[in-house]
Amino acid sequence: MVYYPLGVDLSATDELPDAEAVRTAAGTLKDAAQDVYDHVEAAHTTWAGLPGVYDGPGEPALFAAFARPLTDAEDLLGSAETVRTAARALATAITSLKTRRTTLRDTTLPAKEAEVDRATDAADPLHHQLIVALARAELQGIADGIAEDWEAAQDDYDTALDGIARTATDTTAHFDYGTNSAAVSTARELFEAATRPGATGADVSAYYAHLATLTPEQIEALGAAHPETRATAPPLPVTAADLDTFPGGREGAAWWNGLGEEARAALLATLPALVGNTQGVPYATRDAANRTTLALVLDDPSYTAEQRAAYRNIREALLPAGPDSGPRGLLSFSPDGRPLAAVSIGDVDHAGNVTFSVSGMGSGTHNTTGEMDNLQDVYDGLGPGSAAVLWLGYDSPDLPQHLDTAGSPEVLNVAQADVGGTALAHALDGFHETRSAHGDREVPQVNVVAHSYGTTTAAYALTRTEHAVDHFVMYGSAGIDPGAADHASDFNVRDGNVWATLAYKDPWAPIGQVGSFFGDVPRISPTDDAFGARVFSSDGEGNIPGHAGTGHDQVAGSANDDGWGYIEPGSQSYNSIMAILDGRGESIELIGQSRRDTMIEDVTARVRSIEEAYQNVQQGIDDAQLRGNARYDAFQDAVSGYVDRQQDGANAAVDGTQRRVDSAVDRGQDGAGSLIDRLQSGATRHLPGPVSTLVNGGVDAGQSVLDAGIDAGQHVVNRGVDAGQGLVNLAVDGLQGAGHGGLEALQDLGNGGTDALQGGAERVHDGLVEAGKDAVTGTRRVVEHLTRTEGFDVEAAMDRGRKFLDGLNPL
Amino acid sequence: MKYELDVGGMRTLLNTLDTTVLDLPQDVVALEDAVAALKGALGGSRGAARTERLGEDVLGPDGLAVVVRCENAAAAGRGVLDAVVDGDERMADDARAKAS
Repeated sequence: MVYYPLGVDLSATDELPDAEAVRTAAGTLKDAAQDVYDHVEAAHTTWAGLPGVYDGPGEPALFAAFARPLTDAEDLLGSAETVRTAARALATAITSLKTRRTTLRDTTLPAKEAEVDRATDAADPLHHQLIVALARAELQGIADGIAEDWEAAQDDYDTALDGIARTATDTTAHFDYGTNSAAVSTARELFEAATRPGATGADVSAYYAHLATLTPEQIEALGAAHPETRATAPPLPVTAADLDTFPGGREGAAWWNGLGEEARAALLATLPALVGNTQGVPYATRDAANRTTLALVLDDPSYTAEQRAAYRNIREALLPAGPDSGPRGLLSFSPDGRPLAAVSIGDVDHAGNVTFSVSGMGSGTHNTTGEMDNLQDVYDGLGPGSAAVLWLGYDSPDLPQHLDTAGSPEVLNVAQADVGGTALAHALDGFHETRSAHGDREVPQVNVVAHSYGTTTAAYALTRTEHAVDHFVMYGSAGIDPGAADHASDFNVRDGNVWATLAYKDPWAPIGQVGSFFGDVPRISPTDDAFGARVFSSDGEGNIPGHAGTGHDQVAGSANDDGWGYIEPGSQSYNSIMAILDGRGESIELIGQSRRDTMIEDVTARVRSIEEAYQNVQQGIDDAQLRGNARYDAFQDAVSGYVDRQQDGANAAVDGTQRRVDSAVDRGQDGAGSLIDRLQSGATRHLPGPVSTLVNGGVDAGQSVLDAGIDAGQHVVNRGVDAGQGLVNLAVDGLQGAGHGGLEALQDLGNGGTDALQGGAERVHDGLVEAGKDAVTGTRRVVEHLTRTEGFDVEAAMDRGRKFLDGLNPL
Repeated sequence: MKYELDVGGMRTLLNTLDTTVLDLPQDVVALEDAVAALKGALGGSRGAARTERLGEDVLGPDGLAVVVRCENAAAAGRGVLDAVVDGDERMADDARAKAS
């Protein structure tokens, strides 16, 4: 907000429209409606001749066929007249308001301020404040009155327009004619096919080919009947393969050059978004077309507030910075989705040296004015006959601080750079072929300068172009996909003119590179000596004068502060880049690689040493486990051998006892048997029959008793032996169980220790990884905050960082 | 044949009519551009958006309705002419009925 004396706020009327422009535009609107009416009236007049040549049924209705449209045209004219009247009234109010505002600002305010100064010179402090407050209240009242009248004037305008309603009713077209002709319908169908999601190059080519067959009237009919065709740009190629199938500059130039003048004029007026985004069409024509598209979509409520804000920003960016600052042009403009554009300074159709600038994360048409301020610095540093192009033709990643809110990690990934790279390749080849296609022009020196994530995007582009560019300069790179280019020689750039620089105090570029390791593709630094680019200093080294860079920005701020951006006039990198773009790059003393790359290599080496230490710990754990397992196995073998031997000994003792018992029993049994046999034999021989029978019966009974006694005795002995064997077995099992229990307890103890050791090591490792991630995120936020903090000493912070890393060395 | 036409005179009339009627879409496009110019002149004021809505909801559709009615009439005349030349009375009736 502009500050006015006494703190009066005039912001409500800061942007009053240009009254004369409003009057003129309102007149043009009325004239356009008048043209409609005049032409319908002319048709009505012609039709009035019908009775002279027609004699058939239904004459009254047929003869009156033009009466209704004439009435409708008259009503349309009335509506336009109402708009003109309301707009004129608004313009008159604006003129008055501006006069009052100017008087207040330039006369009343200064006078009052002087009056207050005089009155307060001799006043006490309290009185002084009272005088100032009263004066401020009085003047603010006047300012508020102007603002209220401005609101009232707008209310009147809105009310007048609210009173305008449809007068004609829609009707169906019955014939293959005019807006309903087959050719127009086909064009509409091909338009839809060409602009649907996933449209192919063949779809787009078919639309162009059909348009070339239309008459100027049919082209106008297409735009009138299908307004959506007017402000919709043809789609861009998305993949590298699309570049082979989508119409490029060569095809576009052939198409445009094959059209008649009237068809070109009709296309330019009717389908401006098509003409303005067709490679091969001269850039001055594209500029005119895109400005028409921009006017069509401005303030259109069918677009989002963000889109409309971007349109306004683009319109503002098209205003030249000054009388000698070079004309600006809108070389491409696609209003749908995230609005895309390319804005130029200088005569792109004829310039001998054209530089395309590709911005990085956070850039976009929402800040076209800021980006154009940066481009103006580049343009101003180029020689006469040069031009510069701000290419905002891709959906660049959001700023990473959105991680806190929207959670956008886009910059860590390459998807947007990949798609954007295709679109940029299309634009660069389109430029080459446009200039080649027009006989009076030659292909000039073409340069590409890219910043931050723009280098990631441009790197893809320059591996996909058909035509080489002359210089490619990368500054503050967020890293290059090595899958696209792992060496500068992979780029389609003439004579090895691939240049790169990275300021030591740029905190973002290294974060973009290192952070990509958490994204989809780990990216590499183009200022690393291994990449093979011509690396020049932004830190004051070498022979190019200028201030060392102080951060990641292209322009760090005003000329009076201590910040120096990469393309800020006065910085060393700006001076070097201008020398390169001017073809004097050979005079620059190169450095092997940026200091940042050296530092990153140091950090990487330290991280690797931590990783190696972790691997060593893991290896030690594995070795210890292996040794423990071997000892366990040997101990188990020893225990098992001992138990087996003890069991064998016990078994042998039991078996021996059993054998001895059995032998004794057998001998006893045999002896008793022999004695009994002898007794029975003697009794039989020496005793009478009945007595012998009695004796033998007694002997048999005695033998039975003896056998039973022996059996009982043997049973007792056997049970004793079995019990002994059972005891032995129990003892052996107990011994063996004790051995196993001991071993398992030992094993559990060993495993527990190993697991604990391993878990500890993994937690340390995971902790290091998480700490690394947190450090990256935290560093991003902290650095962002600190770089905005006055007096922040980046060098001292880096020293602290180095000491911290040194502290990690014991690991 | 109930239709009696001066075929040459009718053809001349229709050719003249075509020149005018087929140019009408250009006027509608110009009307839309004029709306865009007015809202552009109104800058960031709320009148700009109001003007855009008027163009999109009223002026544009009214203009297109006028064009379509004129096209229907002119094409009906040519349809009658072509049908009569071909001796197809039914087609001529059909074309005549669609003149508005």
